[in-house]
Amino acid sequence: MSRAGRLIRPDGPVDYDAANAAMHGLAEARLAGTVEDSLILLEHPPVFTAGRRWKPDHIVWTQDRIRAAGAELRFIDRGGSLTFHGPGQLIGYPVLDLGSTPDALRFVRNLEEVLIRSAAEIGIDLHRSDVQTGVWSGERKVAAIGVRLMRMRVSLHGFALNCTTDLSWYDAIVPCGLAEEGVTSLSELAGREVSVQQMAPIVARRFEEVFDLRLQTQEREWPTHPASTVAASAS
Amino acid sequence: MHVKMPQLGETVIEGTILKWLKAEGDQVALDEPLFEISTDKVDTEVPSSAAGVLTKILVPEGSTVAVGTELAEIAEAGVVAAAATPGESSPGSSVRPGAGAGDEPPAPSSAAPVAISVPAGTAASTPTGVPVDRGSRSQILSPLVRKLAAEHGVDLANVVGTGTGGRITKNDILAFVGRAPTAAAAAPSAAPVLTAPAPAATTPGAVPAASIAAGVGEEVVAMSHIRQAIAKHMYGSVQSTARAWTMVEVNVEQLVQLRARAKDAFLAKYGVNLTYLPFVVRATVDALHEFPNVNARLDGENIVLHRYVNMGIAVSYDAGLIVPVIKGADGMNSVGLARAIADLAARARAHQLKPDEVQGATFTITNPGPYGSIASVPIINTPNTGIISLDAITRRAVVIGDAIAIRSMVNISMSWDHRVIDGELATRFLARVKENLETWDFGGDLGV
Repeated sequence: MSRAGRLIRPDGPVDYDAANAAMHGLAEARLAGTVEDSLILLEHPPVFTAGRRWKPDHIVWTQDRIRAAGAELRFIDRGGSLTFHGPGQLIGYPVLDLGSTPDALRFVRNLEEVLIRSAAEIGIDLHRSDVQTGVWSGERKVAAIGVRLMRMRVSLHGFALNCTTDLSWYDAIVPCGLAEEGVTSLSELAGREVSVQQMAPIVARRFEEVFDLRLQTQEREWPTHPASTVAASAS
Repeated sequence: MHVKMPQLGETVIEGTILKWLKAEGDQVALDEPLFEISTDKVDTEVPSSAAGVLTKILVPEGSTVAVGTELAEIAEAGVVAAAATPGESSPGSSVRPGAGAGDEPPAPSSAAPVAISVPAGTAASTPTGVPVDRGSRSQILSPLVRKLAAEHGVDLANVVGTGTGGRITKNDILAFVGRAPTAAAAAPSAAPVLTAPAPAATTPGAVPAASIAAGVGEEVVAMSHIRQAIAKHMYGSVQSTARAWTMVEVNVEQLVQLRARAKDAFLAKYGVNLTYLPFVVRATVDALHEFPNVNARLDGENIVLHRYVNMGIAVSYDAGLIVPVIKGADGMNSVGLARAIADLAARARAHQLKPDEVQGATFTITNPGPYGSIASVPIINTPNTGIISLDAITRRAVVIGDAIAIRSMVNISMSWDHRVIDGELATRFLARVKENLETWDFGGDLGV
């Protein structure tokens, strides 16, 4: 019998800071036991995020150039180094209670599994790397994964799956600190457009399957954090 | 007890210490985040499995060690010790006074979300279940109260009056109506005497308000841990200080003109925007050296004077309010202060401050001016004894000699702890800040 959870699927791009704050709030609530497990699926406006393991030489462009290109740079609390989020990329933030003895590695492998099964459903064969987290096609990465556990228990951050992402954004950084490997997207691999809208329900379904959850879509607007209104009106 | 590298999965054999969230000598509460580790792409906060004092850190940040490796030692203590904050609410705690210039101040931060014990001041009014003598005037009721009671079907014999002589007021009725279901459910057979819940038993926000169920048109939002820490700290300050307030009016015409002239060259040369805040910090630092009792904290029956200035700057960000600290602000000119403020504020908003960067303020400045306020009464950032508010600079008509002129003016005010500072000192201190801002030539300080 699978457990009940909720799917949070905001319409349109959500400002990074607003989503990040609301995700942390949701994790606090999960920790307090006042909400069930959640999966947030959304898109962000262009933003580069640097996890705790970032190094200055992982940023190729200057911060001014990044801003001039219409993106932001954020330093955040997840694992991993630098990555890009933007239009055409399906972001998944699972906020799950992993229990008092969490298996962090298994959690990450499960996220990879969700994305591998999702891509297989549209006929694209992806795989894991022996050494690097993420989901790959050959030597090129299709989805990045970076996670943090709040109080060694509740998951934060998650995965970013390139669907129709403009890959030239990655020129600004050394993604995940890996100089050799490249990045690609589902659309590039399929030779046709594979959109975020198309992938979101597939990923949600595969997520339910892998994590043995039954997701109920939350109808209420998210995030309700006031910052989102400000960001929405500014953009 | 020994703190060990936890196992984050069957196949995980090692982990890297990313960051210690506590320093040696710090109090640690049960389940409080103690350190952060990284394994592959997963970072995790590890909560403490014991309460006590972190006596020794055995593995430094950046080291990768096997699962099970001893990382630190915690000397377990009683529950009481774990909740106390030295220098703030536990007079018996020993805090080393007289740290030299440049030393890290021994007091823990007030701005960091540390445990702050809050006096349970409000619970005493009506002890549970004890009949209250309502006094002779208790049955004198206003028509409004009678009408309200009738409307809500309230038996006045069950309501405790808080008005003069035990009179039942409108608010007593409304409070009773709001709380009635809880009171009835808790003690169905006992006399339903209205009692305020003890603050300790309610939300960590420590605001002793009654819980009233949300109605139509209301939304319940849980407080984040940062919001709770702010609530505790602010309420604790109001409860534990004798706050008084003084304001001066400062003519900043010269500063406004200087900034207009210099701001473009300043940005080009130093890469940060020139605001008024560095000037005010600089002027305040000078005044703090002249009046050391304002740059102090109370420790039991001693006043600890700081021979250095660590300036706390209140910064609002998405999660609430945080007070990053410019360490050694008295060693910086206006350029250094401008850079330090820009850096700390940017990293505060990016959630990127290190724990020691929000600790050890000796004095604090808050800057609501950009939002348009012309006078503010801030709450003291304990254990500081004073906090300055810089409000909005406005063009005003002022009398100069026998003429009326238009000048850029600003109100600078200070909330101060009357246990340490008296009115004369507070006013002379603010007058010095004013004099510095009105008479100093900051142009030479900017190098542009």
